[in-house]
Amino acid sequence: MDAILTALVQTFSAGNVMLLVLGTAVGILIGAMPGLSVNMGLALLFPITFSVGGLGGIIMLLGIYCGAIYGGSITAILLKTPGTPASAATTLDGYPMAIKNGQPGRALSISTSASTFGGVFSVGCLILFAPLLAKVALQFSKPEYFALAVFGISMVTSVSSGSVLKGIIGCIVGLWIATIGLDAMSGMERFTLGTLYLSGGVSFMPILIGLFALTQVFINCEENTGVKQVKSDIKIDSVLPSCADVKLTLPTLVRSSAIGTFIGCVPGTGGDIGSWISYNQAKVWAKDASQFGKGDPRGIAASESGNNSVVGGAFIPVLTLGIPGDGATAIILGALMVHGIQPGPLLFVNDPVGIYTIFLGLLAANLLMGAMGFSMIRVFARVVNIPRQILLPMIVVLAVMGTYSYNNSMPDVVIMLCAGVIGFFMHKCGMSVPGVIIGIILGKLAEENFTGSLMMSDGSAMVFLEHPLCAVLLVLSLISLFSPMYRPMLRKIFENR
Amino acid sequence: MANMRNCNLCVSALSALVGASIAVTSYGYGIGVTDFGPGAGFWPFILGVALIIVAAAILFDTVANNQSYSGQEVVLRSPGCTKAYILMLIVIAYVALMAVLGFYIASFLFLALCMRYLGLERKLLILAVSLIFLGIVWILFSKVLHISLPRPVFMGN
Repeated sequence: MDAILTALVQTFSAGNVMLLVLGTAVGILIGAMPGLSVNMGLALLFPITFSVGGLGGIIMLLGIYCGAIYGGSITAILLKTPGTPASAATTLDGYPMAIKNGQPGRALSISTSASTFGGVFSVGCLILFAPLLAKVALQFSKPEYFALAVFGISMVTSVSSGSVLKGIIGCIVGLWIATIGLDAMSGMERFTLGTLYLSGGVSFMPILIGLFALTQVFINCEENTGVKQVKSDIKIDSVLPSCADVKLTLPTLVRSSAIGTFIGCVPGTGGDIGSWISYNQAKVWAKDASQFGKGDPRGIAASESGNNSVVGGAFIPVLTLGIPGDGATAIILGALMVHGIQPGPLLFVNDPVGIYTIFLGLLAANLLMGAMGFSMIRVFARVVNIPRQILLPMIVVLAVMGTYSYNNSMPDVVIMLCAGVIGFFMHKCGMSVPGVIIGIILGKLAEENFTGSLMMSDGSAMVFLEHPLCAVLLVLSLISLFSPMYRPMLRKIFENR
Repeated sequence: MANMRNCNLCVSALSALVGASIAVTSYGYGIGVTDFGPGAGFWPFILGVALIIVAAAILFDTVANNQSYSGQEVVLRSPGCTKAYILMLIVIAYVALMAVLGFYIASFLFLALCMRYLGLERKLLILAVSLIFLGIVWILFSKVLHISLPRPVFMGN
């Protein structure tokens, strides 16, 4: 009880509330602007977390994460251009309701209330189920932790947007980058090229900012050359949902939130999958599905509650097992680790205040997101019109500043720059960027527990098979890693049947 | 014209090269397992070998699906690409300039030049946006959050 009270005081201190407001507002704006991603927002504001200290910075990142997923619906409804992939399904009914039916305020109000409902629902599930899973995970020893890290790494096959094999290469490179510096066991310098800078290891931050922020700027610059920016000049009427809409969408909201939360728990999925499956289920369960695609409120509610409820679900494996499900949770996991918080079952025992602060921060972020959505939607709808010619240079300056301020180091800025340029060519080759980050984040965990397990067993690799859970996780990792090979075959078999 | 086949071959060759150099270097650190646990090079050696295996898998996949990959164009030369490459050079120049002129002067020059380059034509708007943005950055980051940023060489440390 003391921990909950301390967490309450910590979460709702004036400074942290301000950071939460800032994070949520920035998140909504980033989510609303097509081309800017939630990962970019997290990467850009990550360095600020070091200046504010404590868990305030993490709370701000939670605000960005929740806000960005909701923000994507604004342009999906007003411009038929989803700000994030998670809001793609919202365009199906949001845009027709806003433009063809002339009810933009109604569409936005349904989207805001559905996003808030989904977010709060999933945080409720997180609070209920995460401690239970953590209790089970407390029995883990080094081989299980190694298997968990491998399982997390195997998720690269799911987060790879292009070629899976190239995604695996990115992940291995990330794992190798994590080995640069002093070996924790022997104290030997590895891959440092004799430089003092590398003996401390390569910072995760410059690579993160380079790959997620700078690369995105270059991609945006390329893709938008000669393309006219679509602008919103729609007048928005009332933004509060009517009782009739609430009544109509309530069953859909509950169903879609449950689906989204479950999908969020599965590493390697994301808001886009959550929203599409929820939308599809809403259509299947509807008595009269004829209005879907023509501005049905249930379509907007399903998609938006489905994608926002993924957030709470995604935090269950992150906090209890230390496994990131996608790029955004990988960044937040990295942020927690950089701040000395090691996610995993022990976190629930060693730092209950920290864990409750994260729970409360997520809850507050979702509620604040709803409040901001209802009160400031007209402002957000205007801000998305900022020309890219202004936005992109600002992002570069913020990326450079954020990287430099982390260690007051120009070499870090150079690494960020290199990562940005390499990331652009990785994108061209169809290589996944989140794989590199997952590799860097899980690299230390994997190596430490791998060597620790071998020490436990006097060098016998059988230790990984003697622990049943470890063996199961390793088999699951193999299934996940090789899924791109057998998935098309399975699909063919099912289609033939 | 670049296609995905050539692109894959490059990725495969580069990965194999990097993997081999990681494996060889790791071998030097010691890959044997002793009473004190595996040597410092044991884990990176596995990664190096894994990289070579995946590189071989990409090569195999590319050869097996030669026709399909040959038909996939990888756009490396287009007006958009050229613009992105020039932007990369501008960002490199900005970082180099920052070491000499400090964060604020270099950022002002970068913002103004970059906005103009990306197609913003109103000079007054460029000037106003650059100054206002850097003003906000100065207040928020230098004054409120006390983040230290590079100073011009002529102002010393």
